[in-house]
Amino acid sequence: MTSEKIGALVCDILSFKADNESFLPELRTFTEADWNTLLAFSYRHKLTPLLYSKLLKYKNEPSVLKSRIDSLQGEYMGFAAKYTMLRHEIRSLLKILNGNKIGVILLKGAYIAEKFYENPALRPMCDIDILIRKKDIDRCLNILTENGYKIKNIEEAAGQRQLHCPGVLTKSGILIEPHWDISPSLIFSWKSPTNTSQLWENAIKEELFGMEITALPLESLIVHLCTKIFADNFGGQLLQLYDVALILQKSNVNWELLFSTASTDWDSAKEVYCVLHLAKALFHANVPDSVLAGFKPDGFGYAQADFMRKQLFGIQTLPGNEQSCAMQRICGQSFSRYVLKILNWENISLFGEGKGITIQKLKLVFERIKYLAKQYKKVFSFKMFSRNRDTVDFYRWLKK
Amino acid sequence: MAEKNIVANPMIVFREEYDDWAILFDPDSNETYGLNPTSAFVWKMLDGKNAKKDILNALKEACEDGVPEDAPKHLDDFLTDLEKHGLSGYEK
Repeated sequence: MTSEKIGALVCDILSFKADNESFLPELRTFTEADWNTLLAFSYRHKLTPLLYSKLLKYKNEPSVLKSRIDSLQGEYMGFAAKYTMLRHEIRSLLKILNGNKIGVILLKGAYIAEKFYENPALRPMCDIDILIRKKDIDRCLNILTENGYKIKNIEEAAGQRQLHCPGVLTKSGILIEPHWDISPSLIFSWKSPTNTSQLWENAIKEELFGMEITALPLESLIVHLCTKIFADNFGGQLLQLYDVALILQKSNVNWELLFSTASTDWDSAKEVYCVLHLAKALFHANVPDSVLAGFKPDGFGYAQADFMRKQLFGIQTLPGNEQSCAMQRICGQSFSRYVLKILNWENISLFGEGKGITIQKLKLVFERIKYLAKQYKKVFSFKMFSRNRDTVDFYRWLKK
Repeated sequence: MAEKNIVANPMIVFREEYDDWAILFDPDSNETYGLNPTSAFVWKMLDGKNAKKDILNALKEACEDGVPEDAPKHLDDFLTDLEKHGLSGYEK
């Protein structure tokens, strides 16, 4: 069974369409190999708990279904155990930071699971992402260290501080990733940076985890998630797409506000459109046709939709480098501006030793690839050209 | 001496899952444990008001086909295990 077929089937199982049992006849004919493919696919996309929850009601069906659903239960219990631990850590973290008057916004899975999933254990996560103000980073790290947390790879911390805060480990080994900036411009160099101060001004207070927390307003949350899907080049992002689809199901979205926020505050209207289109196409998410018609960007068509779908399903997966380099070509940035580094003067002889004039010349070198890879993580790559036309075309369209 | 009733450790997080399974999470040790439906049923009776015989009787009533002959030993083993892992204690 192809990735495309399996992907379509998984999306069908998880979709939000009413009276959804259209996948059953096909599941009943599954061979052992088909089930293995399905489970491997759902595992890769971290959809196993969701799949389990959807198939559970069919566990008394005859043939292969029951035994496979039983095996999914074991997987699910593992995720449920992990979630129980994570939830405890999230509560502890929020108590410590709130108690020390450090503003914190929960990002991604940590927030989405508790807020939107009826059963948060269905939403796997392996770490806790938070947004804090840049001015609070040092104090945050000190306070967490005093409370028994450990800064991960402390030797790298100094180098990383220019780009993002170093990760922090809880006593149980859960990674907390503090961010101070979630702009798409960190990934796509042609984008304007997001106004982080304004994000904090617009943040909302709500009750979650049994306490008052600060969260991104709905429209900013959706935009942020859409830009993250793009930042990760769609690969293995079905769960994140499902997140967006679920949020759309559960919320009363102000579409005008969503797209104006996406455009004005995040410079990401196209990304939002693309993700909404995908969420509706694959999961029957609650996006009115009028919205898709009204906000459709120029040039969006089958080619873009097909590219994203293939990326999602892993049909057309390219190594990160190729993606980045396609973006780089389109960026039109001068590579030499970032690469050339003037080291020092060196003496050279124009006409040979002792015969001509010795002059001093600036010694220009290309910085080591590893150093530049750290400084310009996902924006630049050092393979100069992508061989994949579809990738180049897609990102060229995105940049227009 | 009257047998003391067993009490679930109040610090332990008990989370019910699908099909009557459950998770126990110990925040002190960061250990998690899976409970099958029978264990989850027993755990819910560890409120300090039930002796072992009360729990066994409740199990007999709840199980459609009755309980196996060695159910008392299973129960003993489970309760001993809970105590060993610090998940339960005895009422004062």
